[in-house]
Amino acid sequence: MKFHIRFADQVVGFFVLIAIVSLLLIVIFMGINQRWFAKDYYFTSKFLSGNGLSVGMPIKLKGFKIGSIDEIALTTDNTVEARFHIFDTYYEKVTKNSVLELTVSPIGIGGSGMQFYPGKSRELIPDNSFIPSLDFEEGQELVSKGLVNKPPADDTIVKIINQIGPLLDNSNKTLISLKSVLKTVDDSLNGHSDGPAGDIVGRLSMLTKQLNTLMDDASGQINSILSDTSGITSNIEATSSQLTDTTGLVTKLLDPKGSIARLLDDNLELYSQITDILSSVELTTTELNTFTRYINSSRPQISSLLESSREALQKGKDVLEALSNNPLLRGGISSSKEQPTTFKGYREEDF
Amino acid sequence: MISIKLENVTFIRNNRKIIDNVSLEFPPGKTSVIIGPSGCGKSTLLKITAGLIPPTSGKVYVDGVNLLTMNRTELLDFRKKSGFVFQDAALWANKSVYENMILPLQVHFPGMDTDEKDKKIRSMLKAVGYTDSLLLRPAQLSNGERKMVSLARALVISPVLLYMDTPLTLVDPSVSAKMERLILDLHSSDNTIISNFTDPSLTKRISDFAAVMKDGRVISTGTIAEITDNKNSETRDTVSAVLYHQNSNSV
Amino acid sequence: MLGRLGRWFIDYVKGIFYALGFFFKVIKASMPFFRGRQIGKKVLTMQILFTGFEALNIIALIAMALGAVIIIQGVSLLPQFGQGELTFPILITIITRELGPLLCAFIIIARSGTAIATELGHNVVSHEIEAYIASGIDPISYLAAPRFLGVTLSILLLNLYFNFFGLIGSFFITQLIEPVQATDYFRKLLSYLRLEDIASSTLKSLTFGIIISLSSLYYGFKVEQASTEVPQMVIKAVGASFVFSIIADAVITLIYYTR
Repeated sequence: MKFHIRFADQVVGFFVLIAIVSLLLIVIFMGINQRWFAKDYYFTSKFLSGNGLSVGMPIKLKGFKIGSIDEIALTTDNTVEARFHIFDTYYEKVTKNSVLELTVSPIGIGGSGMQFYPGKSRELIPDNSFIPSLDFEEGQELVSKGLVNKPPADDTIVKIINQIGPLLDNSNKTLISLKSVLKTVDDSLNGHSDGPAGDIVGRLSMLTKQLNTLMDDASGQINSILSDTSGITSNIEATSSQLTDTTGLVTKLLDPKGSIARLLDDNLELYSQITDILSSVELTTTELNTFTRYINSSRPQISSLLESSREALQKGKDVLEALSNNPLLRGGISSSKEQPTTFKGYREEDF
Repeated sequence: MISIKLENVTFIRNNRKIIDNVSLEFPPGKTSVIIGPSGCGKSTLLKITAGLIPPTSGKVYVDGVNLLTMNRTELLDFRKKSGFVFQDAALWANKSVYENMILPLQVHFPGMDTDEKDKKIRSMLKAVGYTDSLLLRPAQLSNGERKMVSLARALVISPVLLYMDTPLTLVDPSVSAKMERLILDLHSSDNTIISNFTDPSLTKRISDFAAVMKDGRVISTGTIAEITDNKNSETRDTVSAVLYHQNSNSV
Repeated sequence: MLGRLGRWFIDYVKGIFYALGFFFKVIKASMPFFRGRQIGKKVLTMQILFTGFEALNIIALIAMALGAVIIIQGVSLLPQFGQGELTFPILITIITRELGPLLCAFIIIARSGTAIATELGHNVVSHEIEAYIASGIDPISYLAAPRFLGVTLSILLLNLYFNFFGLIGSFFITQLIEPVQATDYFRKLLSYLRLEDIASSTLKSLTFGIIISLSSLYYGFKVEQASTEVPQMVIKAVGASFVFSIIADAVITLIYYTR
């Protein structure tokens, strides 16, 4: 026979006993935890409206639950009477001139709460007394006379605004940074900036102008060179035709009044002209070379600038989304898929 | 001695009349036998007589008191005086042989000493011829052993009224002989026995009173000699088929 | 046609009255168990052993798994919405008030409801019930009452154990996956658990116990002659137990929330 069948009576006895003892223990612990056996002190108060008031609503002092509402009822003069109790451990806080304040969140977040502000007196209010609320003049007067130990505007809305404040500051800072970045980019593109990007763009603009001037100069000189060259060509042509006449070629070449002699004997005019042209072309090439070097050296900086702008725009977008999806208002920042950076390609290049 | 009387008893099951307006009186201190062909309603009538099945209509009197309207004390007193041996033994399957035997004693003799109960159980089982372990469950017993235990269970409370629904069927001859002797002993005492034996010779030997049944009706009553020589041909045919033809289907 | 309908209706009403009479008789026969010694005491003990004690392991497993899932989800998900404290009301609502009693009931229907209906059906078919009557034992007092009390008491106890395992045992399972501070957990749990929750849970399990035991007993005894009737009646017992338990659950929940 199995053990639990042979000792069925004992097994069932234990089974029942453990359940009952455990239940009793849990009920006792519940009672201790929920203060069933503690003496509470009962008070009443009045409010203008029952909105936000509910039975069981906790009464808090500086964030600590010190009691709760037991009953609420509409009186004949259309005010709301609330009966509540304060735990014996906090009874010493219920001093003369204490007031209650019902805070209701207008935007529906954070809920409503019942705040207790102890009076500055040391005299305790007896059980079953009336404690005024800030809904009525009696309570407001106690506060204005400075008889209530009430911290300034420590209500739910302020707490919410306090939580929103740093968030808005951060958003503001980000927007300012974004604006500054955009202005820098704009200035840089217009060439008005003092920074490296502006300098680069300014110098780029200047170089373009110089290049234009050079190109104009070079164009004139090249035209004259071309016309001279044309003359030379025709001369060479004539010379060539003359050279084709073999009978008189050597004679003519050797003739002191021949073409080469004349070419070399023109006070170096043609030679000087060619030299000048070549110098101009060299200068232009040098300038062009410098410009190209500038452009080359500026390329990573421009890319970096564009990448920074892109990142700044992305952050700006996140900030705007964070504002619209603020955790207090909605559901937080939605995760977005990171855009692949275009900068990566340039970084990997050798400059 | 207990007298049992049936008055206009009818029993209908599934729109079928199984017992049809039976009025009968079993003589006290005598052995009464219900005879009839198979399926004529003998077992049902026996159970109605014992108060195990309530009839659809009619009354059952025990010493002049309506069995169906008895209060709990009267009913318990009647059960204390009566025992029932079932056709299929009907032992409680979830109990051992010993537990099957002790339960009626616990019900009717709550103050009886445990040793005395134990002694009574063992002697009764020995009397019916059961020699196996008392800790066995009915499923572990043979058909004959089950019948023995069933008879022993009915007799353990020493009843003065005994109902037996074909007690010797499916029992091997050696066991049957032992049980038969026990039944004959009971017959010789002042016990009231109501039964429907299948064995014609035992029936003829033991019965002081017989009721002949056919199709749910009691067609004749009297001693074996009276019903055998009955003028009614239906009675005669039934009795001769059941008691004098071994191959008849009297169960 | 009209005659048949009329007959069916009369039989139906008779059936309801018969069932009510049966329930009344079972409840009446159960009373002596609270007063003193009963011959069916051993049957009651065995019923609690089979229905209550032997179902403890499956109840513990389900309760701890369910509780652990709620705690893990609660402590990881709810604080993201600033509603971390909601873990405890959710845990108590599911384990204590709503799902606990119903899951216990379903397990008892599957384990013991079917067993009782089958056993009694077989008792009827094998004439064991008649043997009890012949021996002077009232089958309602000896067979039905201890089973009724045993199942009802077992489901009450199992519901308590379901709560222990679901609220306390699951805490230890949670420690293996996502540790939660013990003092904080139990302090909050005890501050959110109300007597109404325990009362609602107890009332539900008591009602389910009565429904399951009475349905199983009623359909078990409804078997008349053939063993082929047994499975049919078991199915009916299970169906009735489910339907009436769910209806009772809805009614009690409605009363709880509209009080």
